[in-house]
Amino acid sequence: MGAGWPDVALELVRLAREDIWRFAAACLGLAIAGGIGLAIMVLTLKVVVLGPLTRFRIQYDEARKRGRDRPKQEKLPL
Amino acid sequence: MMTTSLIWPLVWVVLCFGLYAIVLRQLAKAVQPLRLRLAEEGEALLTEGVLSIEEESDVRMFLDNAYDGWVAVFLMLMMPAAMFYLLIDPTGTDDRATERSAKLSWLFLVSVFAANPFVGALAIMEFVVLAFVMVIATGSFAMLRAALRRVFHNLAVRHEAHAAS
Repeated sequence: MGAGWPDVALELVRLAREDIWRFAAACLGLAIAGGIGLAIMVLTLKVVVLGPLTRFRIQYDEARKRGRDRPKQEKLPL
Repeated sequence: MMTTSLIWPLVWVVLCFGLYAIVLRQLAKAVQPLRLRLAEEGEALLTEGVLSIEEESDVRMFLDNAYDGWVAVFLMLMMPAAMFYLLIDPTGTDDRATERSAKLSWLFLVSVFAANPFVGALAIMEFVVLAFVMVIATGSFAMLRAALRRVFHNLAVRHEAHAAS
């Protein structure tokens, strides 16, 4: 599973002291990995949750409208 | 070595996030028929005009916030305070809500749980502990229902004030 975040931070500090280019490369790698992770999360949220939720919300608004109209419809035959 | 140590925590975060997103969607799918019932019956009840002013504002709040994930957070924070006040001053614990508006409040509770399952699960655990304490202290569930109604009404008052501004 590899080391935890504190070890990573320590490693970064060590790199910053010893080799500035490797430190820069590590930071770039971290930023790219973070960016990819974030992009996957946003896409997952959009595809898995927001799409269906928007559809459910539209159905909900329609149901509210039906509820508002219900007594009026019931009164029509009278 | 460093790359793997960086990748694994990120993979776990993304996996947990994806899993939570799936749980959120499946729960929303499961409670959708209940939400539609809440919407239709709540609006019909408001149109019929049989509710008291207090109940009307509660039902309006239910209808406007059925998808709001923050309600579970407020419930979790406000329930202990509401119960504490009711233990000190038990007046108003008689359940004056009509049967239909009481049913709507349960539908609303299920709906806000599905909107925020993580906090909702924590809130349920808190409710169980509080219910246990209240039943031991008072010997009935009436106080729990009254506290829930008080919290809902508090939220409804805030909702109306927010809508008016």
